[in-house]
Amino acid sequence: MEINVNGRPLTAVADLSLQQLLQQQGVNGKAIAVAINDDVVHREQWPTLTLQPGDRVTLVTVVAGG
Amino acid sequence: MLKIADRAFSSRLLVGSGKYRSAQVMHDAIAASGSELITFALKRVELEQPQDDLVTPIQQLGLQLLPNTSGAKTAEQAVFAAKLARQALGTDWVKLEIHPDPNYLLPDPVETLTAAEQLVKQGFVVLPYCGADPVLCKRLEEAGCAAVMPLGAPIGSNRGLISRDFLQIIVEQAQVPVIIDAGIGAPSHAAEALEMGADAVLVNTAIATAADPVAMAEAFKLAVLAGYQGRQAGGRAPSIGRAEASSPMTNFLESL
Repeated sequence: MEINVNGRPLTAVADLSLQQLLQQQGVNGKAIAVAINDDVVHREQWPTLTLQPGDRVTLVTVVAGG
Repeated sequence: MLKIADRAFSSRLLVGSGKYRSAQVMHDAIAASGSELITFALKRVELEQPQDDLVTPIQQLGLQLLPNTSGAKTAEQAVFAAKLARQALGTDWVKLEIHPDPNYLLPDPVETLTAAEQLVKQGFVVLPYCGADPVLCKRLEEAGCAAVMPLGAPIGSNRGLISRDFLQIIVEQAQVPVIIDAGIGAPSHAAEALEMGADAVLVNTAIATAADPVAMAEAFKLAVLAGYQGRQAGGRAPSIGRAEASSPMTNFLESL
């Protein structure tokens, strides 16, 4: 299936969980937040949430700032 | 003590984590500043690139993280950023900043008030960056913000308290802490802010881009202490239009 991660198209296997996507992308989960189609997904839901074709995944992390 | 929402802070200096030349210098400067409230920003994860852990060393010092909504141009974007920050850092605290204008980075008062109202309803501890507008500050306070953060001058401009007459009114009227944010370019500016009755200041550029950021962080720490103590001791002595002698005007020299 086709999904979009941080503005980039990505081909992913069916029934991929959000947790699996993060592992595949080398995102370690520390100071990370995820939204799917602009809805923030709680950390506890990462293992059980299954991605759907066309999902827009936003991954953000913390950086230095004022 | 500085009380914001349900937390008490012994330091009246908040510092930003941006613009440092290295994470180590940032860490050392934050430690030297004595600050207990440190701002961070959010950005998209760069996939397939190593991710620096900026946060753990700060948390190990027992400091409160204050994520900002920098990059938001509308209330909707700022609320989204705040929700992401809450997930990323596990804190309800947020420095709300919405500045769509790229030249002066001046905060949008309408969007800021709208976002503040929504975020307070959703349980956030909201510290809004705003113009030095006494009416807006009152409205933000009424919306339930835990503090107000009016600007001294545009972000990163180092121009000091060019809005001082309006800051004075804000300080007089506020029932929540007033944290003067943005534009503070020198320790003397920070001291002036505390002297005029501000509860705290937030400093980033002036420390991070100093020749010696660690020493400058300590200078700001001392300036904030001096300004606060001066305020507690009665504030600035009255300005008088002519001289008034400090030494006795005795006439023992007239016999020479």
